[in-house]
Amino acid sequence: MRTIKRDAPILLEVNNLSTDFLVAGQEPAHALVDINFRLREGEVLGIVGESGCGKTTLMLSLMRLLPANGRITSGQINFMNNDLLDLSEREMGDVRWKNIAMIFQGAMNALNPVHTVGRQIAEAIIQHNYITDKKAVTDRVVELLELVGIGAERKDQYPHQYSGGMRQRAMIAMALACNPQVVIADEPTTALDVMIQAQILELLGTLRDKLGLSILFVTHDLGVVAEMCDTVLVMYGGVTAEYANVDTIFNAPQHPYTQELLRAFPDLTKPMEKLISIPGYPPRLNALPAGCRFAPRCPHAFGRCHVEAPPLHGVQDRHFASCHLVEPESNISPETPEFPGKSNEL
Amino acid sequence: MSEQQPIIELKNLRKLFPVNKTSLWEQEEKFVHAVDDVSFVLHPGEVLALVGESGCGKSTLALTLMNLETPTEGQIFFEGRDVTHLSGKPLQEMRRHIQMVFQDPYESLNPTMTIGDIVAEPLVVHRLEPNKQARQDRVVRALEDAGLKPASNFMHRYPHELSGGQRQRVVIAGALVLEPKVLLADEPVSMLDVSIRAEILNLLASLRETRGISVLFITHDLGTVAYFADRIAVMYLGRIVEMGGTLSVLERPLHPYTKALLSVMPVPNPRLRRERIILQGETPNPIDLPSGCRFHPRCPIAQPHCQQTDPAWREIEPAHWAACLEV
Repeated sequence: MRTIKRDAPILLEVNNLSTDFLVAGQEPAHALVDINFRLREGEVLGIVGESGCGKTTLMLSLMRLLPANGRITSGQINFMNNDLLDLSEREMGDVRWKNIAMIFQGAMNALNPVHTVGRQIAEAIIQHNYITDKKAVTDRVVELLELVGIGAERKDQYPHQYSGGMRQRAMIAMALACNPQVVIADEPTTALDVMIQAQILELLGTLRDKLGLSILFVTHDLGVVAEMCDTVLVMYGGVTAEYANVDTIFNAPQHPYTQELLRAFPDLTKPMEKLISIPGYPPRLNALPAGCRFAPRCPHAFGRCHVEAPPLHGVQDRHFASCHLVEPESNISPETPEFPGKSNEL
Repeated sequence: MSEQQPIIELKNLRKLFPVNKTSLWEQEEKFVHAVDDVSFVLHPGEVLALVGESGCGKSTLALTLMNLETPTEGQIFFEGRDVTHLSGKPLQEMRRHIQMVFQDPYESLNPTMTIGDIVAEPLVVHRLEPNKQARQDRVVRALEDAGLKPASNFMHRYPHELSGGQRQRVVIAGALVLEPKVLLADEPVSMLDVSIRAEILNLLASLRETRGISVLFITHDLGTVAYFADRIAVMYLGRIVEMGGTLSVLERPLHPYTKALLSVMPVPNPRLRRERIILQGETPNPIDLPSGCRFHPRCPIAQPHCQQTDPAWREIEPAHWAACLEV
């Protein structure tokens, strides 16, 4: 198993990031509250949660692409020692392609149907690198397409001539146009067949190794997380439920939400086991429960959970969970025995 | 189970769609081989999962079964009766017993009708239960069997007021209200969130026990079938390449395509990251099928003879069939 170094340089550090949505005549909705994480060079961080848990809001906040009624109310987004929240809109525009690029959900609809794929990739290169030499641009387009496994001869084709998997590859090529250090992939494989999904995941893994990319991988597919990610941030109702390395999340989860999510996910290696669904739905942002946001659905909730929101406790070194049941010192599990994935830490 | 009369039996079913000629001088007429020589049986109370990637013909197979597409060749038997070319009243009568659950609960419910009316509509269409009270009772029973309890909370609401999981339950209730013998579920959970998937899968599994319904479960996700299917049939390019009991297919897959599909299924355990057999390229065009075994261009173990010989459908282990020359 590939391991990332514990002390690889930190590229992106998010501290206490909170985002509100303003709604006329109502209290602002707290869509994100105090999100913290660190992304190291070459690390793949999975962001997991059901629909409506704030995953996409987090991504849009990082890119400063929130819709007009979204406001980042506090926190810092430190990227290579610059706080992205201090940058002007123009400077941020440069960061967006050259440092942090995004692969959007729904490759089917993210490409412009009336321009060739090559032209759309070229546009990104010209816009952000100020290259005007046609030959240089074409060379770069071909290089990018080949990097993602698309033959150069297909650059003059239109998106409808591409299959779903190829379009997703083209989207990845476009995200890489300006050599970013961080790629945000928002559900990049959700609409794809398993075999195509495997091809795309393999491609992302190769790119990470070859280009030293760090990837923020947003998904609700826990299987993909287990395959791809080094570390995992589990979100629930806009807050961090649990944050740890991938092995801890899957084999020693502390937050009841993580545990329930795992029980609801089909596991091919354990057929015939009954799936347990999580009753209820994630809270609506305009009707958040008092106390812990997961309490109404939590099987272990007790009195205090309904009145007091738990802070994010450090369970162990680089393992955090926001639950009253995992208060520091009270519930620290012994070190898990040595196994191959053990060195794979936050 | 084998002594029982199967509820549905397909014999050498074939569905070809003619392709428009691209040139006036084109001689040969071309076809999309959507379903090509498929045979299987579905027993009463059995859950059969039909697994394959997009474009392998699994949805066409379901439509053909419902007689929404006319098969080009082959026969369909329902309870031992040949229903391949039924039309008119007998067809409607047969369809009552085979109901479909579609993929997208957001688009398969009429937004202007209440849940009660939506679920009652099949009864009206089939002219069953003219008595209003009796009709209402059946609707309530169907909704409650589909897990919408108490039904009175839902009858007068509209689809937009319900969540995705609840809508899919309404779709299932609409199928159940006719008391069908077979449910054809075409990707019933692929649009739903993980936490809700489990609940719909458990519901489908329980219907077999409470109502003795047979389910043909069509999906591309092997992970979801493992929980309640009795048997799995794997389809590739219009043909079933492997079929057997769920555990034997999952634990001892025979066909290289099944092996590859299983190897790329993400498993929610990072300690089990394994060697994946990633097939390169995409499923070939179903118009110009490869010669010999149709899987040979992508097959990791293909031999020269695979290019010439179309493999026969053989029983390799008891009740575990595959079409491959190399097993």
